[in-house]
Amino acid sequence: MKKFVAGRAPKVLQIAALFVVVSMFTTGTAFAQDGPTTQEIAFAIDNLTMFICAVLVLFMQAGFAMVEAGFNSSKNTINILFKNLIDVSLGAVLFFLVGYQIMYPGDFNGFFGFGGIGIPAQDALDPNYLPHYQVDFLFQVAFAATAATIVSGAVAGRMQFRAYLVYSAVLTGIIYPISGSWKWGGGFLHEMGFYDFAGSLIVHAVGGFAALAGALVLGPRIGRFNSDGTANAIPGHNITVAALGVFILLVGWFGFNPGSVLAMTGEANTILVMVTAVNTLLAAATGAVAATIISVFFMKKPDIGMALNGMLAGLVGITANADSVTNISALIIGLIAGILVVVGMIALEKLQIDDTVGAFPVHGICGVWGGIATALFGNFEPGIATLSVQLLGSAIYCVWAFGTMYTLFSVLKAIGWLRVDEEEEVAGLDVVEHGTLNYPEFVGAAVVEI
Amino acid sequence: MHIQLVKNEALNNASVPYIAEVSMGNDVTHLWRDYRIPVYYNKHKENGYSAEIAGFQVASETAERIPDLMKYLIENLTNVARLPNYAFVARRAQRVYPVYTIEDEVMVVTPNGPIFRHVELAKVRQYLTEYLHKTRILGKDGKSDKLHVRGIDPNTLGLRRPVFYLKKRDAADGDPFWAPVFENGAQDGVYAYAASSRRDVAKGVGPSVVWDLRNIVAHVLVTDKRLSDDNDLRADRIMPRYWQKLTESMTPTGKALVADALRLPIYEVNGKFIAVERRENENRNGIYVGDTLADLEARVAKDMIRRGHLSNAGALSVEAADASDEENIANDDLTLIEGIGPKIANLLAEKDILTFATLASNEPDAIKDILNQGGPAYNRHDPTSWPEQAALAAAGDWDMLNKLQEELVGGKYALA
Repeated sequence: MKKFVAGRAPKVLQIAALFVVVSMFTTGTAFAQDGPTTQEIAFAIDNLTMFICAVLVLFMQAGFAMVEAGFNSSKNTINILFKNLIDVSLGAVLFFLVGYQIMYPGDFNGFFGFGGIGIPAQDALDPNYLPHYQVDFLFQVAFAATAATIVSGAVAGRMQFRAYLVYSAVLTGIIYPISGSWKWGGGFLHEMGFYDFAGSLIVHAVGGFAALAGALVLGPRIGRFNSDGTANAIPGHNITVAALGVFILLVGWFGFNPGSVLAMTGEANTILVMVTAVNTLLAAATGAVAATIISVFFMKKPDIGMALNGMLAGLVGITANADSVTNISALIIGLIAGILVVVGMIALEKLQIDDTVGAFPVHGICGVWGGIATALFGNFEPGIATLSVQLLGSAIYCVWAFGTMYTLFSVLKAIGWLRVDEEEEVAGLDVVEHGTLNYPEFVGAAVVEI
Repeated sequence: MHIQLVKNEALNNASVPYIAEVSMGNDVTHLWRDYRIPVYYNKHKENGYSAEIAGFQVASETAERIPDLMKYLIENLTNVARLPNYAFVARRAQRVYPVYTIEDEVMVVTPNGPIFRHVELAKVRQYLTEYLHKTRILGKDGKSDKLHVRGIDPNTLGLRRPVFYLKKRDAADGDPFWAPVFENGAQDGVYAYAASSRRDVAKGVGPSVVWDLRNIVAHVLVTDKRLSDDNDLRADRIMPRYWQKLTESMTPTGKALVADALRLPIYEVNGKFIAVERRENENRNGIYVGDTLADLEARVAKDMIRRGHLSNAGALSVEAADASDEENIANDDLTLIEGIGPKIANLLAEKDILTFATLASNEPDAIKDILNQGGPAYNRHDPTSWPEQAALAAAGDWDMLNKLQEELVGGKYALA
């Protein structure tokens, strides 16, 4: 996501080019005289593109919900669905009230600013600023909810619901917008030449490192690790649903990345959107293939959980650079992300950190990889996205998200709000926290509790 | 799955009026897919008809309802197209955890919780125990409730107690290994699961059968690189009911293998020599078998040195057995009686109550007097049922004893 387009064809030229195309089209029709101007049509197309992309990114919430629910026990599904619902609903309210104008404060000191409550007013046709703030808010709020919802999978099965509400509010309302402003709001990282196209770091690494903080402070689910350090599987209850979730995320990512061009009109923009879309698919594909092969190496059989996470890893890795790398580079970026995610998941297991869905390897590790890959593979003007600035920016986002969230979760732990007790954990959060069961016909079955 | 209830003509037994003939067809990958499950009847109970599958009970007022309940239970017990080979039983917590064999691993599934999988049954039990302590299902760590291993009978799907165990020496350098060994359905041999297959020796009952199975399992474990030396596996914790069968063919030689703290009386069967290792406080013996006395001595020495009970082979010598060596072996294990633990067994032994038959011949009041004399640690125990239990044990009616003991704890592993 970039609000400040640097080093591209000036908007005026783009619109002029469009004018030619559109006027050729409209001369054959009846409304040439009284119909919309070329500028209006360009405005409509850009906003329509943004609107469709925003809806696609919002639909990713469904993908996250399905992935997390499918990879977890049936006794915790309502809790997971609820958390995803809260991320987008509480997130929309808070991002509207404070988050949006913290993230885009206008002129500010580069570290923290606040432009005011709500969405700024904007004249319908500002040729220098497409798209309209209203649709831009829709797109941005979907990103904020994505960053928040990454955590819910990692902490599944043992966190109190009220703790999650606090976390979700703080992340979407404050933490994510502040660090977002450092780049996309035109803050100090933007000034330094840091580049993150659609948020490998700003969205995914922030969510991924917050997830790591949550998993660490919470501790593993009971029975996840043995006293000798070995791990036990706590199987997901529905891999069909998890796989559907990954496919939804794949589709949603075509809003996330191509939408981040923020424009469709103008030849350069149109081509850029399509290159971005192709790169997104290629990285997803090699991510899944690489994870499949690596899982055979480590686990003797192709592991569906690893392969699905491999696809997500490829998508996260390409998010920072989908607009600035070649198709071949996209293949390599996804491939390496697919390897990193499997190694990361195995490493977490060795370190006895219980991230139930692999949120940290997918979004944290591969988010950082995306930031670094931008420097390694991207095509930029001198001074933009150098390896040193990309490394520095990556470190800042990781430390920021991990530090603030580790503190928050520790405070919640200290006041006894963080974790449910052992008996509640065994019974499942659905019945303990929400008083109902998602699958009453199995969970109530006689043989289950013996 | 097809289940048919047939009248139990063969046994003419009012307490087992029906046999449920279960045919699993292709629903499971087992070699054995047909089962004959006894249906019990108890006229004193409201749900008088009952059947037990892998430790889980179904019960109903009418026999006709039993097959439907069984079908539901078997479907829920079927996991990865398999029925369990073992079960872990927590008696006080009244839980049963079925154990499945999948390729070379064993697996326990907890409801909506972790799956414990490992090549060693011992490891799986350890992991499950840790989990059950943390979730407070087994009470605090170190308390007496623990998981007992049971076999699942390949014909009746009932629970079977092991008759002895094959054990690897307690090694710091590797995973523990122990395999419970069960008598086969015809009671003419024993079997154990090792290295992903069932290992059978069906040559009757005797120390050489025990030793043959040990040899087979040791060989496959060495091939599998889970045992470095054939001698590292021993036959241990032979249960009293099976021990009694073994001793029928064993002739005392009047000799014993002796070192500082060790006394292993030597017996002879068909020209082979058997050394018996007796445990403190409980009648669960281990044996070694050698072709000659020297062979036996070498085997015992090697194993005892490995286990740290002996400094060097020269310290072990063959001496004349004293009377207590053989007498100890003849005693019954009174801790098989529900309510009697090692301490009470010792207290009773001081009063010369050493066998089931002696215990059965005592009135509950007389036993209560012995307990009262034992002091506050003993006098709260209620021995009312002990003579009745001991009588069943003395008669070798272990099935009835098991059933009685289940009722004593109020403890069936009920469905709901």
